[in-house]
Amino acid sequence: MKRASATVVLVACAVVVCATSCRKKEEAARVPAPAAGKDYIYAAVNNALQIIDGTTDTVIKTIPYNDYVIRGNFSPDGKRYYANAFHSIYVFDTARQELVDTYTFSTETSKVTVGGMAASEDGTQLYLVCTIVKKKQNVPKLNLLPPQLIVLDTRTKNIVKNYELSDYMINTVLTLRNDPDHLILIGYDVHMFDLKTGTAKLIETLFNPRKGEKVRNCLPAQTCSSPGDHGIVVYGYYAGEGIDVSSGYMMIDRTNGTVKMLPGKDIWMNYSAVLSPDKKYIYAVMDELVKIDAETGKTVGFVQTETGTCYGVATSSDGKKVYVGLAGPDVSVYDAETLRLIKVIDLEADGGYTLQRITM
Amino acid sequence: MKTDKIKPVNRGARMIEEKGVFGMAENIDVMTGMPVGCTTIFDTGWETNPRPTSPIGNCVASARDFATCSGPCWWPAQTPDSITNFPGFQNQCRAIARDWKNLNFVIKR
Repeated sequence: MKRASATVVLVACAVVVCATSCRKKEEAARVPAPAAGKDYIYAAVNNALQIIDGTTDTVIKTIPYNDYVIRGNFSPDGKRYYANAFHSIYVFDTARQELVDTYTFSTETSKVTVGGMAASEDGTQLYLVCTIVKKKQNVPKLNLLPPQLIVLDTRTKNIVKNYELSDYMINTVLTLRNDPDHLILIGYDVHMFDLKTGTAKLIETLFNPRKGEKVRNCLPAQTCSSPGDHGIVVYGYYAGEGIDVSSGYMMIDRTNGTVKMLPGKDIWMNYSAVLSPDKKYIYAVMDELVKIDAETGKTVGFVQTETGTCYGVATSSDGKKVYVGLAGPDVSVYDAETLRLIKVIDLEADGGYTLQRITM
Repeated sequence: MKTDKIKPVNRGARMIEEKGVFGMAENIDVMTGMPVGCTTIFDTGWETNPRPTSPIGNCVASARDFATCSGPCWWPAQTPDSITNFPGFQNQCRAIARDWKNLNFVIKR
């Protein structure tokens, strides 16, 4: 990632020197530099992490563990991959492609379920959204504590802070690239959470709409992002009931915390969505792989997925290939331009919302 | 039962009666009315693909949605509750379409 960052800086410097107009400079600054290095696709399946070489589109490494992983996240610096199981976090070194640590949280009397997580931008902390059930000796009942946002120091493995969350079922945490004091929490609605004060500010509504708006059902199951990418994450939503249904895409920019709702021109149900590296298209997947114009919401193309329903989607760093897969034990590779199937990669087992790309 | 008068008398009992979770205070308000486990999640069934135009229908094949439906317990009657009661069900069945004959989550093996 340092190498990728250095490349970005060099490219940005060259643009500043050569550009002759302010407009050109601004336009160039908005276009992300192509990531240097090689693509790897991480797929956490039942009892193993499988790593796919993005050049040959073959599985090059299988790292065993014993768990069902619901989601995966890279640290922003790309050095770590965190596989989020319900009661543990498995930590992988991306350079060595090894399991290096396991964080377990439950004790004999306290069952901790980690519903979502994110690593801080400097990699020193993990933000975990947890539900905690306490069992007391001699008391014939369980107590479910209010949901907690827990801050874990990755160096000491100590919990350094916890916050009580009022909005139950927060299941997605996003860090902001330029603001270490705030997080974006997605649950019933979308909140900006202040880590200094422990307060949350509503920034977008989903289940509790403003007057005149419809309830939106958003499934932020997988955060499709890669270290060093444009920083914009996309989640599908649908609104309405019966025949009065519409769908669209919630786009959150992790560089400045802004949320944009893009209504779709057609109705697609999507488990996951990703914005292409050039920010022109959204690729979304469930029963179909759909290509959406990221400005207008129009459907550019779609194809029924080759192997059936898929949970995850990722693009190659050059934007030429789209990977869709998991749910079942496979990942399919499509041409991003034509949506033509290139290859189906077989995996060992079924998996969750864990398809992620890293370039290094 | 007045539980506040019960005190642990040996090391083992003290280990069981922890004073907090992650150092959190014991006097935290508890939500006794909140359901526990599977029923804490009420998602309206994304996998039913409820759009008004064709194609409409569940995940294809439905087996592909099995593992994650059992994870956060969207379908707790039909799939193993892997959060609480059957946390290791994936050891019986790593890929449902291939290993379904091994799956037995009604009677624990």
